[in-house]
Amino acid sequence: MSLDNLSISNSSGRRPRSPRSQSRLRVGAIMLWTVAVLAVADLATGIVFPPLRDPLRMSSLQLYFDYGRSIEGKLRDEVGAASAQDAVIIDAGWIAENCNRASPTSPDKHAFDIYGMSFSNRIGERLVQLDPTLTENRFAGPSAPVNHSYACFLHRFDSKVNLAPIQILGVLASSIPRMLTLTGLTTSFEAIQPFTYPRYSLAADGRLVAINPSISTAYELRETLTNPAKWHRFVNQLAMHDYFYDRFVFNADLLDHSALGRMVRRAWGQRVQRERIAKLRRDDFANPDIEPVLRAMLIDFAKKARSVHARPIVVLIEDRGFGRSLSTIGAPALAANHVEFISTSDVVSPEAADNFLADGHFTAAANDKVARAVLSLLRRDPAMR
Amino acid sequence: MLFNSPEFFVFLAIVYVTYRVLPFRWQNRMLLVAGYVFYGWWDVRFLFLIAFSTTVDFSIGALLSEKGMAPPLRWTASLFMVAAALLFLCPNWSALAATSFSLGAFLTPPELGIKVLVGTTIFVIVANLLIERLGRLPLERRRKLLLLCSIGVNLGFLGFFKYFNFFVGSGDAALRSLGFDPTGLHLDIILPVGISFYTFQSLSYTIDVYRRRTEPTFRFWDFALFVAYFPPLVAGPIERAWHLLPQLSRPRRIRFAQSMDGIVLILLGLFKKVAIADGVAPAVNSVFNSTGVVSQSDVYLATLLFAIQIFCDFSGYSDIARGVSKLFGVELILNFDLPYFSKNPSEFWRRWHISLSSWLRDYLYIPLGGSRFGGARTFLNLFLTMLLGGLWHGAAWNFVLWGAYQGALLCGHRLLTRSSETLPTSVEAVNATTDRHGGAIRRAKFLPDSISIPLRIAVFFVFCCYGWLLFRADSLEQISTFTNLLLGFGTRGTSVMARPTLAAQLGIVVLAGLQICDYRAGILESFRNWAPPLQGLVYAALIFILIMGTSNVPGQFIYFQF
Repeated sequence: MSLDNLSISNSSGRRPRSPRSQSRLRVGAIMLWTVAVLAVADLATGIVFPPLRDPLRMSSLQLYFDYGRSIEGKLRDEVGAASAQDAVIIDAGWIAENCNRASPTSPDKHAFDIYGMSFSNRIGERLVQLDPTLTENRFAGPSAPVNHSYACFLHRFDSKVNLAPIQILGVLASSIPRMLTLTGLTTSFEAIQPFTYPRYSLAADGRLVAINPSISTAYELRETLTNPAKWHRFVNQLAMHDYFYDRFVFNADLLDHSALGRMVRRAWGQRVQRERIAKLRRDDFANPDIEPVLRAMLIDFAKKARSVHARPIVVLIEDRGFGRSLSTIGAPALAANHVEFISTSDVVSPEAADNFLADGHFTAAANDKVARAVLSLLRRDPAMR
Repeated sequence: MLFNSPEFFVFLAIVYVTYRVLPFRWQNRMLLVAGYVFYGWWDVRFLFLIAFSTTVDFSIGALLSEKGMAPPLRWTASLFMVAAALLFLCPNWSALAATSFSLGAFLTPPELGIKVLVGTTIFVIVANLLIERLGRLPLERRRKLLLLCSIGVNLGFLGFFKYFNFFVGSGDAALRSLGFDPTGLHLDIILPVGISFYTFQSLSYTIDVYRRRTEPTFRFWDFALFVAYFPPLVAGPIERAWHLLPQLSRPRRIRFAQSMDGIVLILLGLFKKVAIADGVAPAVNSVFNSTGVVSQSDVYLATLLFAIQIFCDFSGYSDIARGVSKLFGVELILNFDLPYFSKNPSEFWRRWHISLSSWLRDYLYIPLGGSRFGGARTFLNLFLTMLLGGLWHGAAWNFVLWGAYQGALLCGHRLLTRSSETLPTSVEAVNATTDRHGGAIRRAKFLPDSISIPLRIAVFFVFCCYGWLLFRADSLEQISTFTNLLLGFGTRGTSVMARPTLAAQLGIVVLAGLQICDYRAGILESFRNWAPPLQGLVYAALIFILIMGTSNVPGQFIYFQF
């Protein structure tokens, strides 16, 4: 063996790796490092921004990394017995608990009941500021759809509680897709709104038929969460009758424990929701489950209010991003049935960004314009002047 | 089909696996079908335009050669065009999207489909008859005639689908003032996705064959694949026949390193598009789509963010296209080379949308005379090229204005650098006429590079951003209002701007860091030379922010509309 031959062999006696296998090894190392860093980042996110039981106490970054937790996961944490008192949103909007109040009567005030959501609350509040002779009773749920408002009115009507002489129903354009739901849970999965309400459809004879949710109070919700049979019944009902129910978004699983997993679920949930809303909006809500049902609810609301000598008024609230689709489907039926109404788009353009706050609500100025339009409608009655 | 949609990745997986198991010729056939599926996903009917361009340009390419077009080739091309009209236009494809599918409705041909089928058949018969006569003409005369035909057909399609509505709309008032009623001229034509890209790509082939810079191909299906190769089909890079066609015409070997490059480019492209472009889009739109009064800071920020959005959107698409193509062993032209590090407009156009700027240079600026006929003519040629480049982007006055602005910047830069070039102030200044990238500086060196280069980059970026304001504006009125606000005039409103998403905010920081590293290293994706742990950190950051960005509302790629 010559020295020359010895000089090219390596010290360990192994053959040197080819450039190709070296390149593959390098890629393998990079991939391992990538996975390791991702795992550490995932873990660190969970430690630095831990989800709390009460969302109201979470920072915006904590909320950001928690948005994608499953609806069931959020419900179990937020409604869990210990934190139930803190999570005020859990108790909001339940019809059986919030729509049984009678409207107080006052001889020197014009009372009105207003049904709806935060938009209608703000309009009601501004109305009272503009005209001190008015007094209001608000009945609302977070981003509540018209079926919630209608069911709330119906609950009071059927209970024969005292109704104010003016009954105002607020309908929010962006909540129209929620007419196909039974609860706020399925559409607001990022920040859950667990209140429930009936979903309506039309029978062959044109009557409104309600599908009532298996849970109707916050108490029942807490009870259901500890009772697997009731929980399955509730979930099955949503799977059957709630257009926005999605198993992957709803049911708790291992992804709840990973920040990356939660973000993937959030993206999926948003995609599913966007696609379903887009499907409904393709024909400007001219959908057999929406358009005729909405009209039937509005007309029945007016009919029932008149039957107790109350004055029915409908406010079509057209918020940002939904154009004038609500007026298009609602206004003709209201006009044909001589129901007094206003479309907010007549006074506040839904396309102008400066009419809206960052959270989507009307600015104070826009809200003032809407309230003044409602006030001017109210004052068409000589008794109100 | 969008690159950032789950459907695309399912499509890609199917195409890739099929590709790996097929022999070469079947790979090409499969890629051709994949290209048609990819484009037809948006609207099947417009596949006829691609088929038409393919047949016309292939035939003209073959006829431009002395060899001409053999009868079997003529039959293939003729049958392909008629079959395309029959398959893409005669079934009622919109019936597929209906809530309840009906075979009867699907098979009922629309009136337009029948008309186009009959027209295509007549066109094919007449063309075949003319080819015989054409063969009797002297070669050079025949070649000129054929080139004019190719330019006429391609630009005719482009003009009709892209600019008809614009010119009719713009001429509406003028026609009315002359007593004509132009109502009947409004056809409400739908703009086919990416028409400018594949038309320019196909047209470049016939021009290059005419100039004898490219050999014509006599393989019809290879040429059909060149036109309909799906990665760059709808938003570029605009490929050249000399670059892409040879790669498609011979068997390809997929190398491990090339596939890895492809995956990295796809990741980078998705990161730019999903995390950044889609994340800043709501902020930009909240200002530019607002019908109300906006604040001065809104205009500044929205313009800056749009500069980021359009770069990430368009270069993101190009990255994904190049990355996907690498998976099939095909290299595409580099389209973006750190454009926001340009120090002047001339450099910018060597770094931004390179495939378009080089196309405009080769097929417009140089044929117009380039810089061969002296100062005034050169300025005119530069200006005209950029003006038409602006119009290429879209049929709207703001694009024309943007093109004019880019032309004016180029002319202004040329004017300034020429004057300083003739008056060197010192020996050092003469020595400093080449920058670190080999480009001509042509100026006196008053400041050290460490200050002057960032300063020049920053100053040019401001000019560049104003161009993006012109590009993004919805109307000439908005341009005027926003320009007034930028200059401190006009009515200032309250801020209406939405905040970019967290993914976009983090993404911009990471991307800016990576691009600064690339610029300093003088190569793209320089992080790929770093040690594995550092590379792992970069990839993990890209993936983490990309996953954060998946919650952004996905938008269509901006350049699809062009």
